[in-house]
Amino acid sequence: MSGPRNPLERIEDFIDLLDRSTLERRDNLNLRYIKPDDIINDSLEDYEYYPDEEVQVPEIVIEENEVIDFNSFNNGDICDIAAIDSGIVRLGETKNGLFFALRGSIIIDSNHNRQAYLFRTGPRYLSFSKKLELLYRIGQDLLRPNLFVELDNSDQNNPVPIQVKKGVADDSHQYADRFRNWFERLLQLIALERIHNGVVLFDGALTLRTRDTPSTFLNYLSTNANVNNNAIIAISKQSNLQVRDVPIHFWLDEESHTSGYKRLTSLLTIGRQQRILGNLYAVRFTPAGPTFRMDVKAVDGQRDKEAIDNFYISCLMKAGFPDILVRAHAHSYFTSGDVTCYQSWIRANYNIIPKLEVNLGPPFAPFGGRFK
Amino acid sequence: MEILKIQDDNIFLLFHSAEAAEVGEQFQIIEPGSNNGIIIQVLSNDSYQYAGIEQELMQSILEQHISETHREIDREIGLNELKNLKIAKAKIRKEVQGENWIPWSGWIPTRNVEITSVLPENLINKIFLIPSFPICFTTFNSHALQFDGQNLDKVNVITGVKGSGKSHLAKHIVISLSAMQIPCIVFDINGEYSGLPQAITLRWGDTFLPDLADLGYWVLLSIIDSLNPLPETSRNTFEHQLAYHFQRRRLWCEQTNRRFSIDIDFLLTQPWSDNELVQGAIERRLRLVNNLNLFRREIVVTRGVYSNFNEIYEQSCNGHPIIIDLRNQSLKMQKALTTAIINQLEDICQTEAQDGGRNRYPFVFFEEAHFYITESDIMNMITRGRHIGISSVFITNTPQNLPDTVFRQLDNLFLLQLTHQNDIKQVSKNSFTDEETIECFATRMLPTNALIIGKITQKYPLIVNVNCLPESVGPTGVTRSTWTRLTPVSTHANNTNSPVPPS
Repeated sequence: MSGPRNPLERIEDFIDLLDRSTLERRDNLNLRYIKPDDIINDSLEDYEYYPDEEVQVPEIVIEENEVIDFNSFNNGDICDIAAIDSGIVRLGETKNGLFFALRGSIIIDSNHNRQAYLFRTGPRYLSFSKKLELLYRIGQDLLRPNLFVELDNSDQNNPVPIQVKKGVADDSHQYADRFRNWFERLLQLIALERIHNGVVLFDGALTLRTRDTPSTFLNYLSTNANVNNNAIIAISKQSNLQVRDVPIHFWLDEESHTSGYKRLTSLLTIGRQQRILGNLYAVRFTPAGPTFRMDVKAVDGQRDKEAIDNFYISCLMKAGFPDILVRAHAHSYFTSGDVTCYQSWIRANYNIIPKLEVNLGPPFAPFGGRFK
Repeated sequence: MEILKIQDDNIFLLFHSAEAAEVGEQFQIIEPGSNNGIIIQVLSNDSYQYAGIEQELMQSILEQHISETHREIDREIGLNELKNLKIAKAKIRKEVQGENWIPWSGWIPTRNVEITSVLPENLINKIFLIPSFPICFTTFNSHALQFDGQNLDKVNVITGVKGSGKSHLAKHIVISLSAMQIPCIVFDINGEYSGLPQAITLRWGDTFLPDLADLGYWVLLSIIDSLNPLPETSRNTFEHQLAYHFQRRRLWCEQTNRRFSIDIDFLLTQPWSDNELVQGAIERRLRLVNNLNLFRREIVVTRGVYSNFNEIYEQSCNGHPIIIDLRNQSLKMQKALTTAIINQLEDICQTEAQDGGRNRYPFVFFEEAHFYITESDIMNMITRGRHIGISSVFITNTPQNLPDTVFRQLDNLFLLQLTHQNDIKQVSKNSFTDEETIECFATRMLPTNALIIGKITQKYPLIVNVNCLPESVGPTGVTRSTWTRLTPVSTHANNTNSPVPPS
C-alpha cells in the first residue's frame, strides 16, 4: 500500500496552497482574545470536545476466573525513542473562514544524542468556500479520499468530490481540527522513518476508524513501523475509556504502590478489540503516579512486553509521564505573545477589519467562569 | 512607538528596535488635532517583558543545551519580532502649547498621540537664548552648542569617576574664560593644568615666592605647625609675638610710605621671649622655614619668580590662567597655601568692587578640594562667594566629600560617568533634577559625553559630546608606570618563564 507522497512535501504544499487563499472581500475579523497568562493548545480542548473519539459500547461481563496479570517493568534494551505532538491555535474568524496556526514536533532521543525537529505553519487562512477541496486533499493523504467528502466515482480514475460530509466540518472548530489531526499523522509518518529498532510514541490512542483517521492509515503507519523495526506506543492522557464500566485510570488502584501495567484487551468485546491497533493497557509509570491508557503495537515477532520494557528503560519519566512526550508538547503549544504576533501579521497582510472577540466576562461578572 | 504607560512624570514608550529611542534623546508627543503636548527625554531602555517569554526562553536555553534543534518547516514570519520590542523610560521635561515650550504643569496626553523625535536644532533653539558671552566646547548631536558664559556664575561642580574626562572638561572652561579675559585660578594637585596655553604656573618655593606680608602671619604659623610644631608654651608666645611683629612692621612701612613687606630674615632679628629656650626654639624653626625658600627675601634677588600675587592676578585678567601647582606639597602646606590665596582673592575682590574697581572677579577651580580645603572654608566660599564675586568650580571624583551645601546651592552640574550609588545620591541633591535622571544618565555615560544641567542649560538636562582640546594643550596628567619601559610579551612556543628583555 502506498502512502502520501513525501509527507514533508505534502505539508509544505498544503501551506503554499493556503498562502494562495485570499479573503473574498474586506471582511470583519473576530480576533480571538487571549489572556496574557494563557498557554494555548486548542487541540486539547477539541479532544475534550469530541469524546466520541473513543466510541463507548456495552461490555460483556467477563468470566470470574479470568486473571488479569499485573506486570512490572523489567530490564529492556535501550533503544531510540521518538515522540510526536502537535498543537493548534485558532486566531480569529471571518464570515468566510478562519485563521489558525499549527505547530508540531518530533523529538528523538538516540544514544544520548537528542534532536528536536520542529514544524510550524505560521498563521494561515482556511476559507470555508474551499472546504471541499481542502478536506478532499487531506483525505487523500490519509489514504481515504472520501473520509471527509462525498465522491462522484462515475469516473473511477478521476473521482470528484461533490460535498462535505455532515459532522465533519460543521463549525470552524471542527474544520480546523481536521487539519491538526492530518498534520500530526503526517508527522508520525515522518518520525517512523527517522529511527530504527526503536519505539515511536504517539500522544493519544491507536483507535482504528475514528472520525479523523481511517484504519487504512493507521495500518499504513504500522506497516511503515515494521519496515524500520519500530514499535508504536500511544499514551492517552485524558482517556474516557471504560473497561467493565470502570474508567481506565482506576484499573491499577490495587497496585498503587508500584509502577507497572495491565493488559486489558481480553476484557473488550471482539468488536472493540478490532478497533484498536495492537493491544490495550492501563499503565502507571511511577509508584503512586497517575494511570494512563497505553496502546501498544509491537514489531511483528516482538512481544508487547519487550517493546514496553525497551520503551521504559530508554525513556525518563517526569512526574509519572514520559519526559520525551512532555518535551514534544513543549514545542507544540502557543503563548499569548505568539498569538499577538500572529494576529499582528494577519492584520498587516490581509484585508480585514479587526474586531475583538465577544468578552462575556462583564455581563457575567462577578460570577465569571466558563460558560455553557 | 506607542505610549505604554504614564506614571507621575515618568512615561514609558513601547517601540521596536528598528526605531531609535536612545538615552538622552528627546521626543515630542502631541495630541493630533490640537497643539498641546509634552517634551520627554529618554532615560533608559529596557527589554519588554511579555507573557510567555520566560517559558519561551527556558525552552530555548534547555533545547540548546540538551538537543540539536532543526526547524524543518518554519513559516512563522515575524514571530521573533516580539522579542525586538523594547521599553524606553522617559521623563516629562516640558509642556508644549502651540509653539511654546513651558514648564510642565502636570497635564498628560492620551494614548492617541503622534510621537516624533525632536530635532537637535529645535531643542537648542527652544532651550538656549542667544548667548551674550558664548562659550563653545561641546556639541549636541553634532550641532555646536554655545553656552552663555555668564551662566557659569557662581557654583559649579564637575564630577565623574577617575578617567572620565573631568579635567578635560575643566580645561575647556578655563581656556574659554581666559580667552574672554576672565581671571581663572586653578588649584592643581595632579599637575594636569600646567600645559594650558599662556598659563602661569606657580610652584611654591620654586616659581612662586610670595611675600609673607601678602599671605599673612598665620601662614607661617601653619607651616611651622606642620613641619616642626612648637611646644605649647612656645607656640603661644610665638603666635602672640608674630602678630605683634607683623603689626609693627606694617606700621613702620606705612609711616615710611613703603609697601608692606616682611620676611623671615627680619623675623629672625626680632626678640621673641626672655626665655632663652623659647627664643632658641622659635629661631630654629624660623631658620628651618627660611631654608625651605618658601617666601620672598628682601636680600635675595630672584629672577623668573613670582612674588606679588596682585601682579599675578593682573596677568590672569589678561588671559593668563593661574595654575597653583600643589603637587609637591604636604597636605598641611597645601591647605595653608590654598587658604592664603583664597584670602588674597577675597581682598582683591573687595578692591575690584570698590569705586575705581573694574569688577574683575575670578573663577576659582578646585581639583579634589576636600584634600586641601576644609569643609568650613568650602561653605564660606559658597555662601559668601556670591557677595564677594568669586565663582567656584569643584572638580572631583568623590562628590560625597563635598558638603551638601555645594549641591544645594549649585548653579551648574557637569556630570560625567558615575557608578557609586552614594555619589549619585550626593549629586542628586541639586535642585535641577531628580535622582533618577542623574542615576540613569550617570551610569550610561559614554566616554566623551557629559550631562550638563543648570543655569547654563536653562535647567534642562542635556547630554552633550565634549570636544577635543586644542592641539596646543597637552594630554591630562601622564601616569607613570613601570610597564612603559617593557615591550609587550609575546607567547613563546616552548612557554618558558624567562622574562622578555626590555627593548
